[in-house]
Amino acid sequence: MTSHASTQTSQNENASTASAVKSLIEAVRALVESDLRPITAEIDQQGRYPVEFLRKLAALGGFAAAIPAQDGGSGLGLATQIDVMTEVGRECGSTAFLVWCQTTCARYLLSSPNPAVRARYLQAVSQGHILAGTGMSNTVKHLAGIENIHLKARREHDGYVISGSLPWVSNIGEGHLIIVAASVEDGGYVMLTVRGDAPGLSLRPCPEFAGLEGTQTLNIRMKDVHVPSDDVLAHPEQFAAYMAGIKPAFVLGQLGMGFGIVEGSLRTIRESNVSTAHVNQFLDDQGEELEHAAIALRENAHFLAELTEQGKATLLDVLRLRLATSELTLRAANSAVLHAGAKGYLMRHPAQRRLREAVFVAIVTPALKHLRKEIHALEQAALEEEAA
Amino acid sequence: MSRQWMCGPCGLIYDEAVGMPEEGIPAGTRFEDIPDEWECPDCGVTKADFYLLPD
Repeated sequence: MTSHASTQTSQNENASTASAVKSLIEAVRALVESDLRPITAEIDQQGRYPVEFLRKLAALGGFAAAIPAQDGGSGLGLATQIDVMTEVGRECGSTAFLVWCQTTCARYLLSSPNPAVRARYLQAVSQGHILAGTGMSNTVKHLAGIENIHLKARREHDGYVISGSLPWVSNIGEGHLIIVAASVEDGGYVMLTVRGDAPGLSLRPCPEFAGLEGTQTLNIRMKDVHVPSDDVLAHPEQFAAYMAGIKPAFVLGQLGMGFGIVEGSLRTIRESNVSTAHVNQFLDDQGEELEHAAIALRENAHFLAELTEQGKATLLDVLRLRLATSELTLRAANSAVLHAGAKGYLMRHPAQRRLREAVFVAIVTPALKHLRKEIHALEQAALEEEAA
Repeated sequence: MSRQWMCGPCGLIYDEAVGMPEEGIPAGTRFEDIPDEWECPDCGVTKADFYLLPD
């Protein structure tokens, strides 16, 4: 092929991808308006789990953008997956979090070095036939030196036996897939998939949360749950490399939740200014300034998402962006409720809900304080390396 | 002196003065006297994940 023909082919592919991305985002936006917007108050206040919406989103390919075509996805990329989540989060941060749960589980499966577990679950999860929750918060915090690991594993025959509990894991249920990690008694960690109806596993309700009650978040207790080798994502000897590989996408994938809440908050600010701009102008965080900050973060997210898919993103950059997104989401939601004033304090107004959703973005693993701890550790290590 | 213990993951408080009668732990039971296999009723972690709260 001549270089001119090669360039032309590449341009055609780019145009085709851009067109597919645009179609997907438009379809998701339409679905969010028709099927999610009308039930956001019910999700928030009555804890409705929006399973019908999730199924329809799955049918549009809403969980499969970051999965290559040969694995049953659309191959549109992690940046597009973040954009899908942003569209959902414009209306409902809680449901955007469910999109993250599902797509992150698909990502775990895609990245697993073990073909059996990929063959068993990847397409089913990325296409939404099986709904899935990630119970990795405890492990991620444990590996960052924040808390004890709660699940223990011992080897038995061709697999592992798991016991322990996880306080709360979202997007799970009896027919769902749950992805967890455990410390292995003879050393290291294992990451694996477990069905919600596995013998020895029980799911219990959690104390009521201040928000995100529609995420089917449950307490998991496991007593001698057998997991065969075919359901293992990473054995102890594979675990460190596997975790290093999945962590950037785990963290970046959450950005859409924050971006969506920022977009929703900006809408509240614009609507509030219709009647009270003359007084809102005295508030600290103005809409235009927040919007510029959001655009910059979204551009950076696209850039780092592409680097992540090439295996070139540095964890420090990813963590800094995630931190900046938490901080902006808090500022935007706080400003939205201040712009709305007293009416924004009514339960029927979205501003108070966005504020509770924004706090969730800052406390879900990796929480704002966790991010600052890990960033500090990485910066210190870099300084020490420089000095040596 | 009565003490309070907090579950690290979920924040549940065990108050020695009150005990947890619904869990079979009478009022006045010291935390050390609760069996080691006891689990937090809200989240299922063991006693090792509870922290003594300052006065």
